[in-house]
Amino acid sequence: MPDLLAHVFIAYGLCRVASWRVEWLTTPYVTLGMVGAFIPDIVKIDLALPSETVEGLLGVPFDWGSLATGGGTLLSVCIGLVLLGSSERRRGGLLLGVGAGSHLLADSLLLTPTGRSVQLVWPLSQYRVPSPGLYLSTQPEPMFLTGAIALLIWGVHRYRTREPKLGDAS
Amino acid sequence: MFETARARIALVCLLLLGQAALFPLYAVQPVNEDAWELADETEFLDDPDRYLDGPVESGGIVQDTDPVVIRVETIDGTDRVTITGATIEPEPGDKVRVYGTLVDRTTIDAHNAFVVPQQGRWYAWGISFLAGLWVLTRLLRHWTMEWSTLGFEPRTEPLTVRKGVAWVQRRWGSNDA
Repeated sequence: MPDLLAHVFIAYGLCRVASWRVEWLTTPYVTLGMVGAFIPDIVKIDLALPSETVEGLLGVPFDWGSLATGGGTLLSVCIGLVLLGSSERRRGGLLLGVGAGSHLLADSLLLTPTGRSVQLVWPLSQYRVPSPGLYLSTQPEPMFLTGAIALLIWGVHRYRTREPKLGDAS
Repeated sequence: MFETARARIALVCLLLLGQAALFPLYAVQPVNEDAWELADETEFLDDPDRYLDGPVESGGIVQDTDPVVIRVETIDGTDRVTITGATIEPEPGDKVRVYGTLVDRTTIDAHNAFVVPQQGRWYAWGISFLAGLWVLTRLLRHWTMEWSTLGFEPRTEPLTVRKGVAWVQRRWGSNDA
């Protein structure tokens, strides 16, 4: 996957641009989209507590990798959805899903040895989508590019939402 | 639906059980070359005859460079895998990821391999931490939890440092006369 900051920049950019058209998509909902971008990266718990260690402790097969698949991500988004207030569930769930989905799509472009990346619809299918192999998660270039675009979008948003100066024609 | 704290807790626990069920399911998913779910070190080291002369993938930390030997993690500890035929020049400590043909239990003839430098891995860690801080800050500023129902609601006004400090003082500050 690109690094997490790049994922967050992508989610911010998508949600902020959408907010120019969708009236209810205010800053709190843009934030939810950014939270959604985090969700598939919960799989990084493997770095602190490797799957092999957990398997050894529990004595049963174990792999955190399901968290970064379509099925695992969907369950995690549902957890977020349940934790939202009932009046926020539809909109908030949509933004969590947009953020998480953008993360999986960005991951599908990663460089891998096989030329194949994520299992987007596991456990329904094991199929790994073909990847154009654009970048490694350890490369900073995607972060710089997405950050520059996010900064531009932020600037445009600030300009669009600036308060009119006194003396502006009504 | 799910309006009360109890209902939320119950449903989150149910969803977490669902996640827990996926972990072993993912671990035991069969090798499926048509779907590009290839054998890795957890499979070919354990049962090499089954995957000999077939496509496998692996990844690990470089121990030696001529030939390239990587240290891989398995449930039983670590093992060493030799990579042949790869046009890479890693340094010890780098990570190498490889896709190729298994020629014996611990040797892969590479079709494709690449190096992930050590400093790249530290970069990913550091930048992810920054991303986490930024998103957490935004979440605290724009959302609040209704503790009676354990449901998150958007704030009417973003939380500022001043408001946050005032809240902490009200909650835990001293009661001066």
